[in-house]
Amino acid sequence: MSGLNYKTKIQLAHGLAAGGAIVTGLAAARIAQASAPGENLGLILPLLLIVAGLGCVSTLPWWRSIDDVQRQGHLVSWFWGSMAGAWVLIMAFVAVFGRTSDLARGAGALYVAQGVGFCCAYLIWRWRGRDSGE
Amino acid sequence: MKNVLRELRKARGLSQAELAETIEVSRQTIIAIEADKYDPSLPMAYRLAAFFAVPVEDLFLNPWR
Repeated sequence: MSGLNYKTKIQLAHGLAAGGAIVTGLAAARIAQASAPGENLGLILPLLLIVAGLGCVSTLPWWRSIDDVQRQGHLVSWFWGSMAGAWVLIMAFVAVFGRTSDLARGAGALYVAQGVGFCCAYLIWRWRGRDSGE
Repeated sequence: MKNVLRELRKARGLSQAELAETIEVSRQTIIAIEADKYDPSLPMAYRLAAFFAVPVEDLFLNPWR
């Protein structure tokens, strides 16, 4: 991609990320349909995780092609926007379907998983930034 | 951080889009830096300074001096 201008590189990276997300969704749906929920977990779950991982990898060229001000915008938006969106949806599910409904529990579980992922990523960030103090 | 990016860019006869394309950042980033809405990272500050062939402190004004 070195001969391309910056705008074209960004557009290609955008396209790859969007295409990756679509392909990931379609592939995950196809894999999940291959057996009944909960069956063949030892095969289905790793396959789904691999597909999800490949979907994440497809966004790497986009992430690497944007500048640091853009990255800051995405990080701030992702943190505050996704937190606010999740809280609104969880509260709406609790209010509409009840605290013990599958939807409320599912949304809550997703939020907890995001929190765990956040903590892991933050710890890695702290670890990578370590040095001997003086 | 106050800066003279707009002045330097105009002195070169470049539009925001042209400068953005040349140093491979988004036009929105140039707009935000010129408007003093965002402070760029040190690498980007040095990159901009190198492009205009000026010291970084001539481009981004040090408020602590």
